[in-house]
Amino acid sequence: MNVPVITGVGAVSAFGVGFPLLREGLRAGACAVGGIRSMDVIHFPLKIAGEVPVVHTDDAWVASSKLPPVWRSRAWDGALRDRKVAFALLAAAEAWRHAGGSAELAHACVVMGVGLECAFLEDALPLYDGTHVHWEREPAADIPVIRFRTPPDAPARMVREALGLTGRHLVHVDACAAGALAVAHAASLIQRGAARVVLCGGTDSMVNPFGLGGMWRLGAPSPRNAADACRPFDLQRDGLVVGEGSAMFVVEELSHARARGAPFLAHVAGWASTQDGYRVTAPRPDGSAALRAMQEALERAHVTREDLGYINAHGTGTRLNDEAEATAIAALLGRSVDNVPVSSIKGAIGHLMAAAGAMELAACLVPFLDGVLPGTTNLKTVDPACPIHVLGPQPVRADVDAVLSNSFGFGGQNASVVLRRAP
Amino acid sequence: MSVVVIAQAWRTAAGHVVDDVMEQLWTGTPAHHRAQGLPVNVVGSVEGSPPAARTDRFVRRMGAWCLHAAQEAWMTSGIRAGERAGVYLGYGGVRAHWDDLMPALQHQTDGVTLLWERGLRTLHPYWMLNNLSNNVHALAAQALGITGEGMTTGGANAGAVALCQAIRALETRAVDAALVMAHDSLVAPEVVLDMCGRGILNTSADVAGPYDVASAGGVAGEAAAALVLVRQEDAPAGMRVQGVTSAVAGEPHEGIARLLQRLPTHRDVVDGMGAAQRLTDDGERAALGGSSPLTSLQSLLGNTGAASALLQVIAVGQSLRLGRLMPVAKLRNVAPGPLRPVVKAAAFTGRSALCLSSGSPGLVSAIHLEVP
Repeated sequence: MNVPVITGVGAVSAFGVGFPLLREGLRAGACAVGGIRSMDVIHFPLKIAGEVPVVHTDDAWVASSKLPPVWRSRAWDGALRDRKVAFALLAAAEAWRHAGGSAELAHACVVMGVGLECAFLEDALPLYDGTHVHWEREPAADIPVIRFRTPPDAPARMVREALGLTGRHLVHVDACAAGALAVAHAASLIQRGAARVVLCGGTDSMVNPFGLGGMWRLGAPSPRNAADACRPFDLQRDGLVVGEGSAMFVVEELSHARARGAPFLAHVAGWASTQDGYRVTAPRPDGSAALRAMQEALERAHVTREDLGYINAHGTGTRLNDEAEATAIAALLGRSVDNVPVSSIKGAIGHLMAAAGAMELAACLVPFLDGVLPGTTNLKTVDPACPIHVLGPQPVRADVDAVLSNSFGFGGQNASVVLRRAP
Repeated sequence: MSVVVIAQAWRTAAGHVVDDVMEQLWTGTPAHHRAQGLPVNVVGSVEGSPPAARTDRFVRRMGAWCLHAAQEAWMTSGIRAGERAGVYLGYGGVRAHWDDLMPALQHQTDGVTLLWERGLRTLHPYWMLNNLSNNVHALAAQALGITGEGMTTGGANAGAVALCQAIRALETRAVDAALVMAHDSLVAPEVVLDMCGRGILNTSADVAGPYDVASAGGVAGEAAAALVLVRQEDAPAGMRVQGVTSAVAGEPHEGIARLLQRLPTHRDVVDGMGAAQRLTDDGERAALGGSSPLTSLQSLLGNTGAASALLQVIAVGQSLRLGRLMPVAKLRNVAPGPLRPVVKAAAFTGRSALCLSSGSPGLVSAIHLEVP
């Protein structure tokens, strides 16, 4: 059977552009959540986010990155207004360069988890008379090619075209599990021989009026506009913090990587998805479907719970999610529950929604690269209702060979992915 | 290992009952309705709204239709839900739903200063869940008790991708039964305007069908569909289905030859992409070659985006089972080229078909069907 390995990684997060900044931030136990700067939030109730430090994602910003130049096409004019498109381009370019991507790998596929499309109300203004939008009118001549909204496959397609890839692109829109499922999908393509190289990951941004406004109306964010608002597994936790960014990987067949001398960062060893089949608005309280996802991922990876060195939890910082996940993890680990450290990085960079699973898999490379487990930023007192070994805010040193990452999306879409140290 | 379809349902511009819709499709009459307030004359819209349900607060109109279709297909299949069943959804994309957003726009007098206070604050708390990409997936899993593997794919070929993933899951025995769903609506103002701008839709009063010398763009449509798949060993009489997707640089027809290498070589009929654009249509026919009959479900129901592949499985499958070919709608003067576009309904004895659908530029999906 073919073995999928990670040969490149790229990340754009609240810590900045580039995986090294994410790695450095997590190793330092830093928090990158802060006041929103990319839009005027004076009149908004939600004022903080794990925001990528850029005000306008435009050609100039993309060009100013220290990453390889990204090809631009008139066909994509306007797309960079959607922050997640720009993030995906930079993360993908970094991962591609990291993997030693070249024309020889141009057959690569793209599998990307993406969030909600971004609506551009300003594009409708020329058609708006103050009461109605008159769609039957001819649009203004100078509006951009991408208008009104970005198509759901825009980030994947733009990445494929920017890097000159000829493989197919596939788009996951499984809410907060999308990034993890995209990586799992990529590994599955490699394992069954349907592809030899896949550029995969997730990208999302809800740092826009509709994203922030919609989340606030839903009641998911913490009501405290403070940098420590998101406190996964904490007794006083009261909600999530919206984040944004992108993490991308080059996942490659082992012998293919070896043949070209590419170093491996990790082996994508196991993955699984299950459905709660419970409620759209709440996780299954007993965590039974989440437990099955973790068990099946470990079985596929041939990793026992005793082998497991670390769990990167979905850990949103909401009361229901953390308790259900902790219940599932406790059931998974049984007597080993005190031996397997668990942490969530959402306190440090926010909840990246569709990109969360991918970013957290990037964080799972840090134990392999640096021998450090990321901490749970802002954790003060572990909730007794979460009977697992949650790491505190500071990272800890550890030598681990297998890690598990959970991503549990709205509506009970569960995904678990197991990484092993590179073979 | 073969995978078969054992149950199906759809909600289309021509109706909701498979047998009734097929009777209309076999006459070659397109399900086009007059467009209101759009820069096109006709659309393939699904009439009416689903009956009110408790799930309405979580799902939009086409999503609700998709749930109806999923429940119908699943109940018809008689499959037991649980951990060994999976859910695979293809979702076209979020539509702006301007009716929701108008209150947020109408009261603005000073840029975005009042966007929250007079606009977004007025949205229903579940507004975001209402627009969630995987809400239909979650609701179907909940309503039917399906708790096995699952995923939601997005984009114009999302239904084909979901179908392919379900087939793979059955082949690898990750699940024993798969509910595959897809829904999409291109009958949304911003989508129609965007597609008109790119020359994909025909804005004239008299739309010519695909493969016609006068083809000049298609018709925006919308639909929802659901299939239930199992391995053939569990249902020997079912229709075999195989699917592949591919993306290529350049025009879609460049990838068709590559796709055909991965599917059975024999096919008795082709249901084409039917974009109704001369260059694309000619390229498609040239890539396929041969002299098989050529139909176009898209000419009859409009461009249904992510739902296209599932609709093709149902309509073309019914054509194979009942031995009748669907004519290409509005086809008056057949453009020269390979294959034989079907001008009039015809009896047919073939047992296999190739269905092609296209996604964003460069993306083509192919499904091969075979009835026992």
